[in-house]
Amino acid sequence: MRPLTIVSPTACIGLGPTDREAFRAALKLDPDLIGADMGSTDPGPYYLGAAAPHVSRIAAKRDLEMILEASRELGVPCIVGTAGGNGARPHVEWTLRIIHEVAEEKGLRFEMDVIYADVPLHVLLHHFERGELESLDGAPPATEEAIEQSTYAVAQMGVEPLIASLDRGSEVIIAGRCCDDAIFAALPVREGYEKGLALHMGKILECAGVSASPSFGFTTMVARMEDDSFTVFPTDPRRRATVASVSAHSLYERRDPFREPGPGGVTESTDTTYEQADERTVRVKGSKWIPGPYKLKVEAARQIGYRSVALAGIRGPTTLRYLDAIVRDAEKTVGDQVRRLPRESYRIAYHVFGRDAVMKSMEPIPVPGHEVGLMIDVVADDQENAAAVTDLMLMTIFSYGSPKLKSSSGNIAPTYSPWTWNVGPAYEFSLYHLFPSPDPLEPYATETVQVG
Amino acid sequence: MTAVRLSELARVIRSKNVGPFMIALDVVFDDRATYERVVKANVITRETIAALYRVDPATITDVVYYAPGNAIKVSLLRPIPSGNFSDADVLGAQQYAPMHDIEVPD
Repeated sequence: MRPLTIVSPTACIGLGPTDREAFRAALKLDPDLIGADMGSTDPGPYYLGAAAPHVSRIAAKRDLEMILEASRELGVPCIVGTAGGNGARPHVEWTLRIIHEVAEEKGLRFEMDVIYADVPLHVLLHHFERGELESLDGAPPATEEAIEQSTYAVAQMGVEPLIASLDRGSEVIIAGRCCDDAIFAALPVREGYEKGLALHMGKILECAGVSASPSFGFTTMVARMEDDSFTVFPTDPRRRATVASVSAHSLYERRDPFREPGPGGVTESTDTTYEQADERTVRVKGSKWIPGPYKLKVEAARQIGYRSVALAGIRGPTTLRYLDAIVRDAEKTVGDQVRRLPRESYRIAYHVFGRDAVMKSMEPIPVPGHEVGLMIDVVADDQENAAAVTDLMLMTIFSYGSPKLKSSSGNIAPTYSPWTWNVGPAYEFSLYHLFPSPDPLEPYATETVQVG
Repeated sequence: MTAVRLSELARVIRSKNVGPFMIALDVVFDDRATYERVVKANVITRETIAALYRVDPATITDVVYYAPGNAIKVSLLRPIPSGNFSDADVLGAQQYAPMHDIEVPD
């Protein structure tokens, strides 16, 4: 096996101010692959459900341009995973439009493999009917309704579709929903490295400088694979990889630091060793791949209505003291008076910042400060109704009179004019499940595209 | 015998989504001795975390003592999934706060 040098410039394309100097330093190390992740379910269900990117076009373009220019000038393959944020077809297409624009502006010409990761809903219904959709990590059981209402469904690909593109000689690969570690592991697995070791390397690299000390997700991390181990280090001279920073990263965003399940098996790191190879470099060894049934993780979201919100500040001592009672009475008044809006057509949540907005029922100290912020959060069947309920709630709380309150009106301070904001469609995750998919290349569709 | 707060012993106390339906609480220590002191004190267990977060112990899915990283990791089901109606912590990023005040006996 030839030694491999793999470069990760950012934890997420377009999310932060990527350190270009650290990336340029990595390019001097004769890299074999530049990899970058572009997404996650972390930003919540809206971005998947609406197929909207969670990063700005300007920032995404800056990073894509940096990576593509380096890749094409030096002839180093590059792989982008979970394009556009959630890796559904519109996310991928959004990313491709940026890439075409960059190619035109920079005069780049290349062939690119695009791997779509969408799962047709009829495939999911088929698995559902056979009882083959397995709830993952706390997801409620799947229902036919949840599947049918899903606007987009994507399945995280493993290394196989990426390896198939590398086999065809593709040097620019833009993947839809993809396991973060697979972006970096596909090449070493193809070259014959132990899959568990390659995936462990990928897991560390996918967050770039998050595993450095001091950590920073938008600076370059480099991995070198050789024989039965790999080393990792940041290229920014002010940072180091330490045994603590690298081993602690194995905890990040997962349930069990010793076991990382993926398509077709588990990366096990029970016997993994971390060793300080030099002052700035850590050597990792011993991670193993334990094969299992080939299952894919599907993620989907569905619309639950339209959201409007309003924010008000509360400083008055009597409003603070009786806030829950005022809100309860106001909600009842609005519900009783506004008969044209059936009560089941809207839902209202209250976030009391300064008391328990962040932790809700898990808050151990639900005690308001001397001032709180009240966010009225309404989801209704259409936008106009959501706005109407939000307005009515805000003004009813504002003017609610009671002998307990010293303020006869003006119980709260609406923050802005306009005080009600229409947020647009609201979503929730509808699927987060495993389904059996014995052919690792299914349901992925690869297209080869000429750019420039 | 004096008790100290966990925030005085740990280098990192953080929380983050593990998928949309779970949150993980991570506590990382600088050295093995401090890690072992906290593990032995038995103050981070399914029962103590369930009591602190006012949740059913059955919703605490994992408590992992991770010696290679001098770290303890607790995973729990989110009462409200990420970004669902009425959630206000999309990334699960601020759910670690009560961990700071866990008392660790000497």
